[in-house]
Amino acid sequence: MNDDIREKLSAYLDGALSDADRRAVEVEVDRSEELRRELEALRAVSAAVKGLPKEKLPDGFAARLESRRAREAAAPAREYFVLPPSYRPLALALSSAVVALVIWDRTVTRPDPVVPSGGWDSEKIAVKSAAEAPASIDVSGQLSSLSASAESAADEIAKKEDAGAAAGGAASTFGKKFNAPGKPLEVAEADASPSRARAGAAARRSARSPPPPPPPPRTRSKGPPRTARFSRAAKKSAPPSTSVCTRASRKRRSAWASPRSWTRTRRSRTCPPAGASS
Amino acid sequence: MTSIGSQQPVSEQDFLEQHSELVFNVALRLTGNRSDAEDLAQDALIRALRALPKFRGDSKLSTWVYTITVNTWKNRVRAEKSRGFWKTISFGAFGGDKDDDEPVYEPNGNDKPLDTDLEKEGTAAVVQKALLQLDADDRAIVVLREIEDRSYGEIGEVLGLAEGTVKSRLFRARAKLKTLLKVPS
Repeated sequence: MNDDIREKLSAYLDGALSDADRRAVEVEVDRSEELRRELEALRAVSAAVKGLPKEKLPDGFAARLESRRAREAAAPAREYFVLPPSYRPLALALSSAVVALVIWDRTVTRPDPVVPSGGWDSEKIAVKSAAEAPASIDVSGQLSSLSASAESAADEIAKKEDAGAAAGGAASTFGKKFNAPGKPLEVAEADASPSRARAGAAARRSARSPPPPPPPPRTRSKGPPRTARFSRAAKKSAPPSTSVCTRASRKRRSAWASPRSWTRTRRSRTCPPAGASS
Repeated sequence: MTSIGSQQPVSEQDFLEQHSELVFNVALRLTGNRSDAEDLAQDALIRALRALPKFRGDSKLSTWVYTITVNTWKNRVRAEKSRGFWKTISFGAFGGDKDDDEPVYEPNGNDKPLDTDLEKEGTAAVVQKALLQLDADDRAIVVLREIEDRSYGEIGEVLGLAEGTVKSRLFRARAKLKTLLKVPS
């Protein structure tokens, strides 16, 4: 006996079937003893629930209702749980802003400080006090040496390009062999090796135009160096702390690197682990 | 005096006289005890009186009153469930704190026959106990259909369900009651 017929039995009991469905159910019930018993069981359940007595209103119901109405009319109904409705947009905006801030802070990556291959030399970077800090750092010597090495690299590329032009016979044979008739050779070369073509073009550009003048050297002329200026000790009026990477600060920063606080982990990168300076 | 759509104006007094008993009886079958039923009936009637001026007469006044009563009850069930959930969260991890005022309308999922003695408790009490085993919508469907004799369409209107859904859920509820009441088939 499937559920479709049994469901129809329930609706049949309520007189909620169409004429066709009602006749079909009657035919099925006549044919099946099981369906007949099922229909009787449903009828008994229905009669049992219908037999629940109607109750009279409890004594004093109307009076209690009136007093409750009066009470509720005197005190306006509090239909909110925590915040009144007028405050909800503000609360929503504030919570959204906090969530957005947290997401932004977690997703935006900040550049790591560049650590020399040998690690930091603590003797060189330690600043004993703000007063002893150098007024400026001249880096023009490093910049001009960088510029010179860039120029030599450009010359080398230009020489290779010239050598390639001298051996143009082989390259043109290559280009003609694999290129459609009438198609310019350079296109075939560019297709065959775009990176080499780009390198050649860059070299040609550098050969045509003189190298740009080196930028003015960066100096830090105002106040103490950054490390000392932003350290906790520098903020206090008392004599400044002795060093950026003291044993105590290393210990403190390694504690920050623990997984308890992800925000502090990033800061720990500014101080190398003990022993890296040697 | 409130004018109800195209129908005759109804005063609050008339409204209460006509509907208080109806609301109380529905509340009694939904909650299973008189004190909860009175509280629910008062709550529903106050809401109905507050909303009576806005009633446009799109449906029968009785259907509208049933809707308010059932929705008020369902809100309470939801609140009770939520309260039970938070109690479980709060105390469950610390050895459990047995709830003394367990809600009477907490649905019970099993379909085992009720362990009741018909002679001791009486048929009405057993049937009421079986009704309380149904979940909220099914119980409301059975009460509106069997006790209030409402049509499938009207029940659907009250509960916001399609007529076909009412039909199939009524069948399921009856089948469950048949098991709970140990009616042989």
